[in-house]
Amino acid sequence: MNRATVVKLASVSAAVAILIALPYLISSYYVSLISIVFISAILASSINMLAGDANLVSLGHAGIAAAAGYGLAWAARQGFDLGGQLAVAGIMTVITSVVYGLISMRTRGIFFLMVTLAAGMVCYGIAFRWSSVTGGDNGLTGISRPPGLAEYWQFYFFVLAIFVIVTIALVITSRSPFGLAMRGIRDSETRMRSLGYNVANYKFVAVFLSGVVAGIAGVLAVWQFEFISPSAGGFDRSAMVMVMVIIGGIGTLFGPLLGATLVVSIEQVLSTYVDRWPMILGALFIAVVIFAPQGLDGGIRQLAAWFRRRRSPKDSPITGTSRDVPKQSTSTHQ
Amino acid sequence: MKGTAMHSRNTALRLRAGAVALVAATALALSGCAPSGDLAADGSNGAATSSDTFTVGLLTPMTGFVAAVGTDMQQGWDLYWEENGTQAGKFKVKTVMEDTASSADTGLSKAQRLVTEEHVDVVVGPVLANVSLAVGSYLAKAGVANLAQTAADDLTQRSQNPLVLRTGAYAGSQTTYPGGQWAHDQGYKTAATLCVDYAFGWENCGGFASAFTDAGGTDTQQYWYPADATDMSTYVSQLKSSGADMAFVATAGGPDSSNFLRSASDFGLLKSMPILNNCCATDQAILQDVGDIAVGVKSVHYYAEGTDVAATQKFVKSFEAKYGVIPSSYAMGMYATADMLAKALKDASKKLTGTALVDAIKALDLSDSVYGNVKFDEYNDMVGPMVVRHVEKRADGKLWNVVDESYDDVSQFWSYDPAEFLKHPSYSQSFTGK
Repeated sequence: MNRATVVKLASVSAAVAILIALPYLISSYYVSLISIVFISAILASSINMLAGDANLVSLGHAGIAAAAGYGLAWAARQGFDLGGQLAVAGIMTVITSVVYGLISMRTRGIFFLMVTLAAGMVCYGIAFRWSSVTGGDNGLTGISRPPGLAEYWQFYFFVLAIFVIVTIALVITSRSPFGLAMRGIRDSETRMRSLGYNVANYKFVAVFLSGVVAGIAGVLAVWQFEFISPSAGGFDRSAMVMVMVIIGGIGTLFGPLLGATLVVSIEQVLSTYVDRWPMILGALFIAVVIFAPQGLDGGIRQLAAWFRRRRSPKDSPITGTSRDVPKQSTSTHQ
Repeated sequence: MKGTAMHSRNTALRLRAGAVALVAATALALSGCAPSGDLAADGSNGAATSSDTFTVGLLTPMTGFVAAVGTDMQQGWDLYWEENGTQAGKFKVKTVMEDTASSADTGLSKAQRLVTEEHVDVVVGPVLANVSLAVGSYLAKAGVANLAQTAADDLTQRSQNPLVLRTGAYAGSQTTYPGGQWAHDQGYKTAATLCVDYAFGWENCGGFASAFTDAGGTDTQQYWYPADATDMSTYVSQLKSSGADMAFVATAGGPDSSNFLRSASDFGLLKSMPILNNCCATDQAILQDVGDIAVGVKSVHYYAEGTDVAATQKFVKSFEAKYGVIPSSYAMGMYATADMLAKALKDASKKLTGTALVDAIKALDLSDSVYGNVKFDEYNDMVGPMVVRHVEKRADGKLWNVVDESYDDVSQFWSYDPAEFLKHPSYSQSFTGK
């Protein structure tokens, strides 16, 4: 094992150790906040997967999450048992994901964005208007977490585990031939078509898979808040999740988590001390777009690479001359 | 090439590390090793820190689409404690403020923060219906009393719980029942209704339509408009051509209210048809926006700035002296809540929390509150006076509402039997009374 691998392994183990120790170190409120961060990060991951690998930017995924959440909440209030609740949530997720997939599979770029935006608005509209089922604007209250997850720390570990599973699953998908084909479609749709790929089908499957991830986030969110209202599926929510993805870094592994951490901290913690927190969030967003187009994840990597080069110029692949070489070429070697 | 090889090896490592984390996490969760007793206990009960400090958690929307309401609420709350001091009986009242950002999710975690971090003894607010319903059900679980400021019917009806007391407002339909009675008493036989299409509008419309129909009138047309409608002229012309004797209009108090009054004025509807509004079309914020066209506009509400009830007059006067504007009903709700809380604490020998606080407030004599003569029903909602009012221009040029007619002791169940009433579904666009 070389040094970089050891460092990487050590930092991952340290992160895992810290995450597992957290409930023993901090109070219940902050543990719950971290659960919220992970849930947001799962939803952000679902968008990140589409945006990163397929360059399909969705502004409607909160709609899928809300559909799953409403399915769970409605079933819980009808007195279904846990299996029944999850089944209803699952069916809702599949239906909405299929609809999203069908209407967006032949679009790309701005058209994909508009179609998903519209689909999200429809989800919001149904939740808002179909009051006999969804409770309208008042939402559905009185939902409880299943017995084994009732305590805040149990739920935290559960969410952490789901986040890890989802992240691994997304990495595997991205590294699979399917992921490769998606990146091919991203880079040149016409070439992929001429190679015999059915581009629309690939897009459908990608949207469906990311919809399933969004559905998982939707169920977790209902368990977290024990409540759901139409705003869970609204444009504001979808846009905020997109902001998380962009701040964290589109298409990066830890981007969604970094973005979710920052946005949730500003929204929940900073707002206690600063009245004008939306301005800070806006300024941060602009700063990231200008100075770190790769997001925080990309920015941190660049910074780390720059430090490494400065500290040990001898380890650098282009010894001695690194400072004279134009930036562009050094970064390709990294 | 080297990069790719490295990459896949790193991925493999990452995967392995992830699997380890997963197994460890699951093992921990399954083995059920709860965090140390202190922390766990800390989270589950909101015991206050000091015995003579009474901590109030204030949940108001300081950002988001109802931020203006949040400011009003804040001012009403502050005014009371500045006038009366923060010492209530044996207790020093300390206020911790939190912003709900006009969102239920944020409001919920802020409520959690107030309970587990600030150890508040009571939570006052929030004002938005969905935020309040969500926060109310969380606080009930946490065992913390909630002095609610929202109009959502179900908060004291179908979702009623013993820890939530509505001190800052009345139920949505409760304020408009007298409007239906009034319309009938004026001799109108038919009415068309135009209401905003979400829970608040449904409740307002349901109240008016039920009482008007009960009294013998007929609700001939019901129009609904989406909450974000900007052009109200189509609805105004629909009302104009409805042929009904009068119109009842329930707007939400945002731009829709101003737009309705402007369109109704432009199209001559204000002159050609008798219109009764709900609370919000002639709220102070709207009056300052639309100006003189609102003079003479009638509405039904629990509050009239130009009333001759002494306690209300005193409040309006001191609020105007301090902030330079006539207070809104939101400011009054907070002022009244502070008043009730202070009175309950004044007589208390030990700190009142949970249901003890709710019961103490319910037992108070509130015959001269800023609402007028009110008392609480067994569902934790106020029974009190409603007024039909119209807008008048004061000598100094400011607009305010003055009372035409007063209806005392209006209950959220109007003339119905509570048990029977609660069997009906909540009011909606498909149900506005039998």
